[in-house]
Amino acid sequence: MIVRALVISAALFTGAAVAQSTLSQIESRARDLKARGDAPGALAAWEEAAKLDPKSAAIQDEIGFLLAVLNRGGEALQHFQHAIELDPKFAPAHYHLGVAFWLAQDPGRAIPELQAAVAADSKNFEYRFFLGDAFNATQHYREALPELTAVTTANPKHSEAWNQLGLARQNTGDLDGAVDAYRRAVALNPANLDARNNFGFMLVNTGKAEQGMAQFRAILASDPNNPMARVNIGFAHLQKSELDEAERDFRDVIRRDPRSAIAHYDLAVALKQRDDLEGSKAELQQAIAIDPRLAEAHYTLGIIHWQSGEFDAAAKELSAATEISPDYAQAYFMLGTALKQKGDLGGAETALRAAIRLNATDPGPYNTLGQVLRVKGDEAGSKQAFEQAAKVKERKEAELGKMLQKK
Amino acid sequence: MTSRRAFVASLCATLPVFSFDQLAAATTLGFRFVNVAREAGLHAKTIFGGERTNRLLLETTGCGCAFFDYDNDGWLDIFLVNGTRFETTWPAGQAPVSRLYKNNRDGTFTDVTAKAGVARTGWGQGVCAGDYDNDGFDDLFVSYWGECSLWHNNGDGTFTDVARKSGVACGRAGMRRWNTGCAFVDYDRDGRLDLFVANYIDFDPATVAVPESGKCLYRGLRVACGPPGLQGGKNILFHNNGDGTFADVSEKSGVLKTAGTYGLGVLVSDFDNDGWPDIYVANDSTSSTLYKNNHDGTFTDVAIEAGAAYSADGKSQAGMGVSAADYDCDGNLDIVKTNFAGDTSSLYRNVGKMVFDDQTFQAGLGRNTRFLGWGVSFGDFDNDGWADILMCNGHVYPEVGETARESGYRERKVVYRNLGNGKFADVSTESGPGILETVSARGCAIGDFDNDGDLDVLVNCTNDVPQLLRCDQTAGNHWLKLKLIGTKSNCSAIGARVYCTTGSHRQMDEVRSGGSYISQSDFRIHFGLGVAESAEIEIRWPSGTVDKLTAKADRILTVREGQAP
Repeated sequence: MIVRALVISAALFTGAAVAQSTLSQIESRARDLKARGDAPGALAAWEEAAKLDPKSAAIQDEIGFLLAVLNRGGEALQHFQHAIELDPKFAPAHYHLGVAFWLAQDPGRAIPELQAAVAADSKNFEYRFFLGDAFNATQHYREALPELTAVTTANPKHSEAWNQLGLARQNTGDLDGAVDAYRRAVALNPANLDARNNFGFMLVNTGKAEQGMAQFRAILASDPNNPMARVNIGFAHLQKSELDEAERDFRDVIRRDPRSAIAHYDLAVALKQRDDLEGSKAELQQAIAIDPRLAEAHYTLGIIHWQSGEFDAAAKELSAATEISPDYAQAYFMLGTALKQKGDLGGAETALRAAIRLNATDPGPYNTLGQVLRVKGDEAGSKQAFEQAAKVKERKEAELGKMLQKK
Repeated sequence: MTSRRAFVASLCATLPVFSFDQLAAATTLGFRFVNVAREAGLHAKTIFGGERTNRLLLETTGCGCAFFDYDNDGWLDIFLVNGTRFETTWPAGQAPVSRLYKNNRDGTFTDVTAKAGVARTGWGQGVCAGDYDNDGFDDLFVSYWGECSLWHNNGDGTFTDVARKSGVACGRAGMRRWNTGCAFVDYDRDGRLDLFVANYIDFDPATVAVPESGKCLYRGLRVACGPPGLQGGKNILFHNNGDGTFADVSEKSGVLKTAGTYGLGVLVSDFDNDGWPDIYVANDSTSSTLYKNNHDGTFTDVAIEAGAAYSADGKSQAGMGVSAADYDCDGNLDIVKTNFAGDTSSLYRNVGKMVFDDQTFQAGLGRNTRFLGWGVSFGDFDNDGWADILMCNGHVYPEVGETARESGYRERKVVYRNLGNGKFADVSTESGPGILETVSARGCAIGDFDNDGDLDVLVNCTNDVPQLLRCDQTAGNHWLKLKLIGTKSNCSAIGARVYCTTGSHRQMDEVRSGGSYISQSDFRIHFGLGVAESAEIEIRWPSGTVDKLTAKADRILTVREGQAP
């Protein structure tokens, strides 16, 4: 049995060696064609290789990649998926499949593939960076944080990685951390205008409006038509309550680009701050017409309706904000409030509990829930909600107290 | 209801194209305010902290003021609380002092501060009036950061500070209490006025972070820190012993058991119609307090359960001034409260049985957020039989500067006209130059200083001369004013409730000490009567006595308890 087994093994080895030799040559040719930019040629070569080695995940991945390059996205997906069937831990295929889904605007399927790629090869900078980027783009900032922290640790010279980390920090409440990340991004690549914009924005948001303004002016010096810098200069004025200047800047952006949803939105905020609710409403409606997924615009429009005592309309807009941005705690809070005021106590309770789940540190939703439960006759629940609000507030005040006492 | 509004309402039946609100809001306003302070002789400036920057919160909150008749001549006199400045040495005789102005009955006033003996320098805060010793002359309590003053009215045009002797100086060893709003209130209905004093912060300048620390930012500006994070003050309730002294019953009465602190404006009213006065305190940056009178010398804070503690969305607000009226004439006293900039004012509709419904937005008060409100008062400025609202504004921080807009340090006022259907219209821009003039307003009192049958406004402004806004009523509506004198009840008649019925329209108000932003308004109860030429009046005195009378319009009627004409 032993001798026979060895013979069979030898025969198999010999046969494989012959086939391998041919396959190597094809693979080499395929790589060469790919390097020369001959995607159709490279694809044909890889398809030839696949016939010789149909079980190779790597070859299926290469075919998928080239199909994607040739804009044959549907076919590309099949090959990536086939590669993963052949080798579920083959990281490049997961990554490419994730990217393909991402490009097909299907983040729900893209992100798990990107996560699988990272799981299979956690040291790959590109995989983690793209995953972090994808989390940011889908407003899953908390999930983005560890990925982007890892990539900036692995490659501290990568400006865009710092920029994305700044974004994640900014949206998870670490404002000082965000400023630091953006500062590094700009220092590493002064031409990274997106990072400079974010840096300026954060400076404005942390009370350093003039420094923020300087960043925006630097952007305009190299790119005079940069719309985001122009919007952000207006935003800086807005933060300083220089409403005339802010309005002028936003109108200037809109004149240059009437389709700038963010400029319409910011103009609406400026108008709202001076209590021009009708003007603000018109700008918000324009922003939403241009970008129906601008959650903040729906939220602010909801607040204006609420201020005007139009609770049905307020609830509709606030609900839209929560649908677009399921993590939008403040929108759930105000939705709960509007529903309470229009008498939908059940809906109000659901929305307020969602707000509390998303942000347990804000006493407001607890208090409003307490009011709702009181009207519903749930005295014990109401009391409990008010007590929770008091505790949360007390905790916040204690922290603030420590900060404000000199000694 | 018999007023222009009835006429407008009747138009709605034939003009269905327009809503009642639109028509009512579009009618000629019928009143305007003109600032006559200078002509009236109110020249002294109120000094309060730095003019351009404030390092400490104490420099920001300003002073109250009072309309009261100290010499019982039937004409309202004026008291303006004054403050001071840190690190300032005043030349002899030039230190700022609170001012008493005697009404000359011709639209002018005479400064009688020195003669009356009420000149005092210090960090003056609020003021409230009441005849605590029932000698027939209204006394004054003035709160301070530090020791307060109880100015006993000697009845001869002079006053004596008896705060220490009476036990109401409010001092505390080792810490200067920041006493603010106050009100005399006969909480146990024994015929003697007790005293409630709100407290803001136990404030020690030596331990509070200053703007240079960079810890306290507003719109990116370094500003004075607090109140959040600073040690909140404890409110005080003094019981009148009947012998010229008071006993601190804060602990015993349950006043110390409250969720909120940082007390400013104080409002006393019988909110649950049980005949016993309750106390509402507008707290800054935390839930408001509503002390329900338990009829046994104790109070329970029910603000949260009652729905009068937070905004409609359950947020703590920066409560400043507060006023009460039955704005919808349903027999319950409602509350209006001013708050910080970026927020709305609050309108709590009393739906009965100590339950309030926040109607800020439904009533039309939700559209103004740029003003930072202080003094506030309900008042029927057009005498149409429905209580309107006037709010005095001005930013806390001088650092925000002066702007061409309305939301700088100096701000204009806001006037809401009651449309008689639960809603209000913002009529500020039509209410005359006195409303549009921008000042840094704080305390505000209303009263008819010229006895012409409409409600004028006194405003104490920080680092500025005061405003005396004369209301010129052009609507031609009738009015009635009642000066009540208690005999079994306290002499000032504080807590007396008056119902005024014209046809099917029934108004109600109470004689009140304190209120607005740490100020004192005219004790006389004012009713607009619309086109009615007389009214049925019912007075429910704190003692339980009920007086009823028919009163002709357009006069000031004095009624002694149990001796209705």
